[in-house]
Amino acid sequence: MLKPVYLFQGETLLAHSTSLESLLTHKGRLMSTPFESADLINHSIFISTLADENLKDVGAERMVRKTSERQARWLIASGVRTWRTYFNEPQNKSGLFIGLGTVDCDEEDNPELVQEPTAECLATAMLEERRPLVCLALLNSSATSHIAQLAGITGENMSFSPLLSAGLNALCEGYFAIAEGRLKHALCGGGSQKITPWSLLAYESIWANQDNYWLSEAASFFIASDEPRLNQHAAIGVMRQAYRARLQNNAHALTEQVNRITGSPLIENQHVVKVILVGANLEQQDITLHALGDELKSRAVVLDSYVGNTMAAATAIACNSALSYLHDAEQGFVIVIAFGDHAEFGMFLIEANND
Amino acid sequence: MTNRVVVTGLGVLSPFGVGVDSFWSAVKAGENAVDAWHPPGAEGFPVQHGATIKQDTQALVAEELVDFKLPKHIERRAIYALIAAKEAINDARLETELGQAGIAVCSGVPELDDASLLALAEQPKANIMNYALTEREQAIKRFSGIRCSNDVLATTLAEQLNTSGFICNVSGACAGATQAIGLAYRAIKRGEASVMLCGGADSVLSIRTLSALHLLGATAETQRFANQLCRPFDQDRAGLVAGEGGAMLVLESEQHAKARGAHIYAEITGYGSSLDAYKVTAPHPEGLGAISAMEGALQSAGIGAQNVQYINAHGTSTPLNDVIETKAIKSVFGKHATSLGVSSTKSMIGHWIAAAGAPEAIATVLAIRDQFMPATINLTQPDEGLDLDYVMGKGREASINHALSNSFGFGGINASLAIARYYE
Repeated sequence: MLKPVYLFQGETLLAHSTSLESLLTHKGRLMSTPFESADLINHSIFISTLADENLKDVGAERMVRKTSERQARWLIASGVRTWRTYFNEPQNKSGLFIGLGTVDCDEEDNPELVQEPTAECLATAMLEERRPLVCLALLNSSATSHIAQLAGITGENMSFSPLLSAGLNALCEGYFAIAEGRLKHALCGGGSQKITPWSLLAYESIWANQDNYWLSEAASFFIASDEPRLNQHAAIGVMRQAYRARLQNNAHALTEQVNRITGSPLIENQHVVKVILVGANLEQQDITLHALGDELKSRAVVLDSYVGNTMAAATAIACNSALSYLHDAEQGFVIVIAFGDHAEFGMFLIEANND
Repeated sequence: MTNRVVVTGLGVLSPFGVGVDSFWSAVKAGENAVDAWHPPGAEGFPVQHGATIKQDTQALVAEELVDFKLPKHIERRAIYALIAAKEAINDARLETELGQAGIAVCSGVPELDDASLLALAEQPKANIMNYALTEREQAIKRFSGIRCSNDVLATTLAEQLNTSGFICNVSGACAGATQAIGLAYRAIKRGEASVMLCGGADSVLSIRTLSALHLLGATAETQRFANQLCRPFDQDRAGLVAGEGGAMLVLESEQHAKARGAHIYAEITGYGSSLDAYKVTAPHPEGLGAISAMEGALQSAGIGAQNVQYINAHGTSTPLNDVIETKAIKSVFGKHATSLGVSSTKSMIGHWIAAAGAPEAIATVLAIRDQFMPATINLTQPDEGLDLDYVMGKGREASINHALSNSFGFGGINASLAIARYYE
């Protein structure tokens, strides 16, 4: 028997200190600029970039700052602040579930340090004690360790990388850990890959195949708990799949998945406040909106049109958006439908709980 | 009502060669895959030993993966895992029944291979990034992580095998592969999936990554013991010895496996994970995270500590890990700790870092199947206070009904699997 899972809204870091609330209420707009490196490979990509976090406000000691790099610091700052909004001391049976970007060598500019293009010179450059703890900074899960240390989280955990499905899986695992009774509280969220020329090389096949693509650096967290508090909404179902079909009829397979959601007894005859689509490309949006039908389509929000592609942060931003939409709702649901970059597909059903 | 979770397929590409048979026969015999090695062209490199895959990546692809349509760019670790996955699927006789399978794997940090870095280093310093972008097809090798995301292993498996279950790329430092197997176990147990392909592949045998480990003081570098350098629990252990490879398991619900008449190797009965929340640079001095992970595995398996006969230890051969792991085992198992067999497969195959838990889980499964505890080789004199039965030198026959497989990662990320002999 699954337990109810209550969701506590957390912090979302967006570029230019833009608040998620202002975007959802159309009072603000997230600015982006052209990504010049993408021009070199003849692609049009726009980016919104986050400022660095110095971690002083979360009391991180020097070692934490030395063994974290920029994208880890976004996660540490927003994760720890979210946790401390609700908890002032370590909690029993608390866990941590995060979608992470990966760490590359852009901050080190490795090839530029090599005097001559030989293995000996590469070794000389790499062995120089510029940053003796670079190993830990390169390890993306160091962000998980730092958050655990600063928040006092010692329980079950799982981190994933590098793109949207990483955040999706993290939130699913956090949900199950609470629903199945293994944890009482879980800090769940994700942070985007930092946008650099190196990441453009790694993700070209994904990012650069669409015109005027918008990438946003971001981090976002919420807390899942088995304890209800006033005005905390409940996640009542999650689902994850890939919609790859044996006959490669992906449109049909996706329509089937959406129909499974809309036909679910969980939402039958219930008021749907919003349907949030996140990570969907144009084709996926068209198929999904069509499959939702006119009534649900009229309540659909394509989150990426407000915040861009926020990668492993995206699903947590969608869930925090759902909690915002439910803020004044006496009853009803928000359905979050998330799309990964390799035909992954996930759903979160979040119910108003404003008794 | 939850499902029982059974192991029905195994696959390994290890420094002993392609296949579970070559891996397990060598591990049973206590053979040593660690050998003299340094990064090609860097004779003076401080790390002078490793447990390497001997075959060239291109040759492995040609010999083992002819029936796969590989992506344009793919890192060699994904090749390792694909070879292991192919064997595991064939072993489970699942070729035509993979459709709904989920995939949970781990492949470590992105690999910036030395050859590609050197090709970039040939360029004028101010122009490197422009060159990398504009000349990327020529400048960067096909088998390089620079041009593929670190989930290439998971997504390639899903695409090549045309699976429609969920896909996970776990990032859990040295506990990553054990976490991936634990995730797969939980997904089947709750009924989210009937079949999961899980495991990992990794290699840190490159100048860049080994340099980072060297700067951290984690690597064994003494010449004193030649290829017997990986000496878990020994008084002269001096650090980890890197290895590389890929290992994959097929897990199924008991119902699914029995319905199709599958051969069942063993049962995954429990899983525990924890965080030290201590320091990113060292494990908790009392081993609290390790204790919690092992206790979680026992609790979810529904067994007492006294039921366990064997632990496949994390056993890295580093000064800190082996002391803390021993302390944690004593805390969890009390007086029973001295009745257990505790051995480190890393003594033979080196440390596969993110993937380490996968070959070790397979070794644990096969230890249960064959009722045989593999040895900790190169262990001649246990360090002071390290007084468990580490199955020194030579493996032995033993009755094993329940076992744990431990993985304790950098930054205090801990995971432990409970694996048992399968009974209907």
